[in-house]
Amino acid sequence: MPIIVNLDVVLAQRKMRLNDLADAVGITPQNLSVLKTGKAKAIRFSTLEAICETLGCQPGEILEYRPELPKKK
Amino acid sequence: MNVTLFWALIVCVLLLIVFQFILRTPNNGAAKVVQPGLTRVRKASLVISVLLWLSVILSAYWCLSFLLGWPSLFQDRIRIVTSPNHIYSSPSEMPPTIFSLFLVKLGWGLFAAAAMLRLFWLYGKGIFFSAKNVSCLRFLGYYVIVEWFIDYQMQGTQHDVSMSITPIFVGFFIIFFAWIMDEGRKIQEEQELTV
Repeated sequence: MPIIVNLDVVLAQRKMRLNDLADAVGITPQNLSVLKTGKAKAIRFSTLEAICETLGCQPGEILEYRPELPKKK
Repeated sequence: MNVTLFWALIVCVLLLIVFQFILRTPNNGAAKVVQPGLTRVRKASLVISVLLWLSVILSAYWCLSFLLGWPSLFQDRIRIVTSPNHIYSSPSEMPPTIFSLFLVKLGWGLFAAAAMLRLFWLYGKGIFFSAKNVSCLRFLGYYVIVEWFIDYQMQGTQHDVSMSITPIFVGFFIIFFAWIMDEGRKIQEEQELTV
């Protein structure tokens, strides 16, 4: 998927652990791990809002669009 | 080597492939949580699985009885009826084309039995809407259609029976339902991966 989740980078910049963020946001660490590892298919605005509020960042810092390279024939 | 023994060996090899097909299913899906309301479905599926196993064993014995000339459990000899005018009580009585088609039907039936067993085994484990269920269901749809074509070929060579095309529609409906189930499974997966 061309949407990249940079949650691990933002967490490292804030020196915050995933479990602490999960506690602050109010979602399970498992769900947050799904988001961090890029397995998530969608993210609710409410979740994104809570993460941005806790980390003090913009959605663009967490999510990044990176176009996929065309497959060679 | 006796021809009948040769074909019996082929049936045994096919049985081995079928068992491999069943055993290949990993059991990690059993970890999925099952709602209490589905417990009865699981139990019923396990009962059906046992019945299916019994029918597979009986069918295997029935086929070997016919091929090797063993006594039947319910009558003196097994008879294969391809049409009212064509009844065979041993492989040697069958024309080569009919015998080949019979063996193809037998092998194809084994794979269908494996798919059925796998499907009910998955239901018994509490896995109802996974990609494996869909593939089993889709295979059964293809089985019904291909089975009809094999029967058509078997009876078509004898030109004395008209066949209903209902199984073809049934097969297409099963494939259609498998497709809908697959789409539902994808939606469920997407919802599960929404954070």
